[in-house]
Amino acid sequence: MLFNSIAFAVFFILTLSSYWLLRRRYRIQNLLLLFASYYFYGFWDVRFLFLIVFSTVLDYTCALSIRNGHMTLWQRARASLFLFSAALFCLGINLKAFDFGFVEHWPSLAVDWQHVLVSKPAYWRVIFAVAIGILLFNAAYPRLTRLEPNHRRRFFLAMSVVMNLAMLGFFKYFDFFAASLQSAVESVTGHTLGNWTLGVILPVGISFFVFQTMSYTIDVYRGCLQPSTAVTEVAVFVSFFPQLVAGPIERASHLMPQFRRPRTANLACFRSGLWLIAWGLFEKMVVADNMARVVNSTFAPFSNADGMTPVPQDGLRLLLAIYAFAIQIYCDFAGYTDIARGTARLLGFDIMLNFRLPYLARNPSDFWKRWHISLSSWLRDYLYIPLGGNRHGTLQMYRNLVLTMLLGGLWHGAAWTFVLWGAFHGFILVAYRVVAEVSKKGAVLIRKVQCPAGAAESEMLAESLVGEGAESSGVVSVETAGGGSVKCCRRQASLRLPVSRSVEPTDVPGGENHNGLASVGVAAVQILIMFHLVCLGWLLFRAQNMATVGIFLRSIFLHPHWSPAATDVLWTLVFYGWLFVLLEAIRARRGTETVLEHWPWFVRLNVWLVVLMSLLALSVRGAQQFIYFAF
Amino acid sequence: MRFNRSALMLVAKVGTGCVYFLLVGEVFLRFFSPQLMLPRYVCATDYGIRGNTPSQSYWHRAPEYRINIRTNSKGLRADGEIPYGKPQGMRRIMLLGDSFGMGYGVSLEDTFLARMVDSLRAAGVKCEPVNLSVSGFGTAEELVALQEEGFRYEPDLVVIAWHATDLDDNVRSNLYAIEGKELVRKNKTFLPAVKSREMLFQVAAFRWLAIHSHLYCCLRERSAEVVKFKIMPAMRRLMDLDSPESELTDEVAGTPSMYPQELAIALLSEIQRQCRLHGAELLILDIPTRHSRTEFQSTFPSDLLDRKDVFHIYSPIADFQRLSGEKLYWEKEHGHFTPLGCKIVGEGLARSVMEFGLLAGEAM
Repeated sequence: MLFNSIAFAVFFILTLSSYWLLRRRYRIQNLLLLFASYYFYGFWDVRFLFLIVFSTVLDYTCALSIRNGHMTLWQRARASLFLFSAALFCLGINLKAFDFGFVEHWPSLAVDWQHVLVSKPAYWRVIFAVAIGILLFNAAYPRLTRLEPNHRRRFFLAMSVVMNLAMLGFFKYFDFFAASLQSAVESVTGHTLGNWTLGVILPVGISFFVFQTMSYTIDVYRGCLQPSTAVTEVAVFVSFFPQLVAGPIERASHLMPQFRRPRTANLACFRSGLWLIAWGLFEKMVVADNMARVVNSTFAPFSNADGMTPVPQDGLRLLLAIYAFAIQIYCDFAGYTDIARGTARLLGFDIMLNFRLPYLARNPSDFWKRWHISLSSWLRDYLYIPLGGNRHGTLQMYRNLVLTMLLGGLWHGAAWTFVLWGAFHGFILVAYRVVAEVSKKGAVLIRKVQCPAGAAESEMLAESLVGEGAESSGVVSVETAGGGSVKCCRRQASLRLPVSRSVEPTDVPGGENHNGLASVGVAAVQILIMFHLVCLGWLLFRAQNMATVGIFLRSIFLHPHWSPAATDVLWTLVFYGWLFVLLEAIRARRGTETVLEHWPWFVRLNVWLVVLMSLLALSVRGAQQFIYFAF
Repeated sequence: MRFNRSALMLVAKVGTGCVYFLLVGEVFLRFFSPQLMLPRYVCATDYGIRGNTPSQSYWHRAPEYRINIRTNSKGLRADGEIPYGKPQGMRRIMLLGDSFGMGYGVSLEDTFLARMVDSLRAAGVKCEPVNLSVSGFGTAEELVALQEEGFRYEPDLVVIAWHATDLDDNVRSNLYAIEGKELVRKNKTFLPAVKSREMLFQVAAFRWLAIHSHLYCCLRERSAEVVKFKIMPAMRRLMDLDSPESELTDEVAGTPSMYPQELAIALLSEIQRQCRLHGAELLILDIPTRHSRTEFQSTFPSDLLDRKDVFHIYSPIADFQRLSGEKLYWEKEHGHFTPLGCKIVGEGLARSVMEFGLLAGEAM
């Protein structure tokens, strides 16, 4: 069910109304949210709902076993029953045998009893395997809980990680690696291996909910979080529909406590929630979908490009198309996130910020603190730091950065272009570290030459410039955008949009900055350079193959000419992007989460009207899929 | 007293807000997204389907053109009256189609029917046009219109303008259906929103809005899309009504059903049978879908392509491709023919008439 569809609007209105009717019973609200979330996901394909339930029960079990040492019989029974029921319902029941409708204005349900059960043997084999697995696990469980505590904790952690990654690996990467291995063997040996791919369907949102459930278990293992004893609580955390299929990848420490207390929503929450939804729809349906038209028409001729494909002579058109894709992917993803946050806010929940004006980043490190914050912080906390982070020397740090970004690229999709995109970002992160290190040493040297007395202070200041990668190992409090705070074990990306001002090398502690214009100029150049580096990465991300990348680069650098088609692309960029760029620039200047804060009512009214009229008149017809649904 | 004042203030605020919204919306659309002002004047005919409102003169405004449309006292797009009986020695060419047939986007003399008649006259054929097209028509409605009204004009040649929307429109109208391989009439009427429209158009302010307000046109278009393609099919499915939309998908395979094509074939066959009974020839114009200025696609039911000897079909794709890059369709409205597109189609139709010998016999 797409956020930008009538079906979702009807679904959400019904859910929201029922939800607030139950406002005095938050546990029943949680149940309602759970059913709504399962319906939301099952609307696409009910079979894959089983994967969410499987991941839920797996991590519920592992977390309790890690922390408490064991699960009670009742807890195990409930979890086992939940899992088996889900397997039966999702895989064993043929929902097409049920027909709900109205007969003579009365609701009626007709059942084709002969076809109620699914007839495919493969599905029954899976249900049987689930049943056997449950029985074997319950039989072995007492023995597992008698392991030495450290071994037990590691065993259940490994079980969660291995099984979650196996599920993700099979559904997302099996066909990709099988096809790649096949073509590699064929090109090297010349032998044809036959077709090894299985045609596996990629479940929507699997990359998101698998990472989310894994983070829950890992945080319990690290002692940052108490595991939940209620399987429904873990279930609704995993499946919470606003952020289920395309993030943000929420942390249990932030989201789960919100399910454990009554939610309140005042008029300000409703206003900001509605604004986030409207703005998210604007980003998606007006900006992103219209940019997609010029991007797709520019890239389409190169879908089967090879070395013989002619290079276009109007390179500036291709450059503008890459800018358009940069705006498209940002608005598509940020639009989804804003709708998710707005939807959650109307339900009384706070979901983390996922973007902080990423195209104003000045360096690669800054970019990854602003883009897809939930993923980058997840990779930092659960991959980069466990690999060693920057604690074992410079070369190890570089290796860890590249590995993390490579896997981050692979997370986005099963294609070598995504891996290359990840590698590209890994490379520029390493390059930035090298340059920053050299700059730091250079700055210290200059200070020593110019002002030997102030050199020590400058050294400390310069240290802060490259201290972004340093991780804290203590417990810190992080302020949430909703005004509360949560404790977490690692320094998380700030959830509140800060007033941005980074320390410049020309700043002297305790003194005035005499270089205001110069620093603005330097910042502008840095932003411009970083934006173009990111665009180069987007070319790798969007291109159908490497030949397309080569064609685009040759055209842009060797044939930077204008054409009437370039004018069309520029017009699209300006016409559909001006309001978005203006409001984002205002947001950056004011440092507020939403642009409407603290504005007079008349200005807010007009902004609302322009956004609504744009949705009515300028949006692309037909609900278009979100890009990140494919991940 | 306090209550009345605060209630009045609230009403005044809401009222002012609404008026402000309407004004801002209107200004926004005129600057950023001028709407297609294509008012449709349709009414209910005596024979249960839509027809053009008689004796009307109104303007169509789009970013690319502005044209005037006039209908005579019988609702035909024409500048004068056309008697049922035709003059001695005159051949009558009757066109039945939708907005393409009506000539949306072009003046009367630039319609492809007019161009066709001009070309035939230049070739020495004494003929006159009769345009029974109505915007929104499908093949089913064309058959009904032909039977109830069209044959009164004693046409010698009937031209059916086939368009991509006809497949679904024939199913949706539910005027005819195929039962046991036979074409049967299912419903006597198909008047989608006609009655409500007639009622609203009696209000002068509403009529003025329909003609002049971009905001009204935008809201009307969006709501029509939502109602036609989302709400009505969902309601029919839920109410378990004899849902024509259910015929659009194969329930078992979940693939597009062949029923719309079968229904279209049956309707065209019936039209041909009726034409033969009334001594008229039939020519089908296959209006292609435009993908770009150089790419066009036929949506004609593929089964019929093998039966060209049964139906006379003219497809202008080859003629369009010879003019590669020219603007043959309007690009900022619903995609109707430009005057150049109409000229090509009209000349092509005239050429087909001559090649197939459709007006070769003596005039009746």
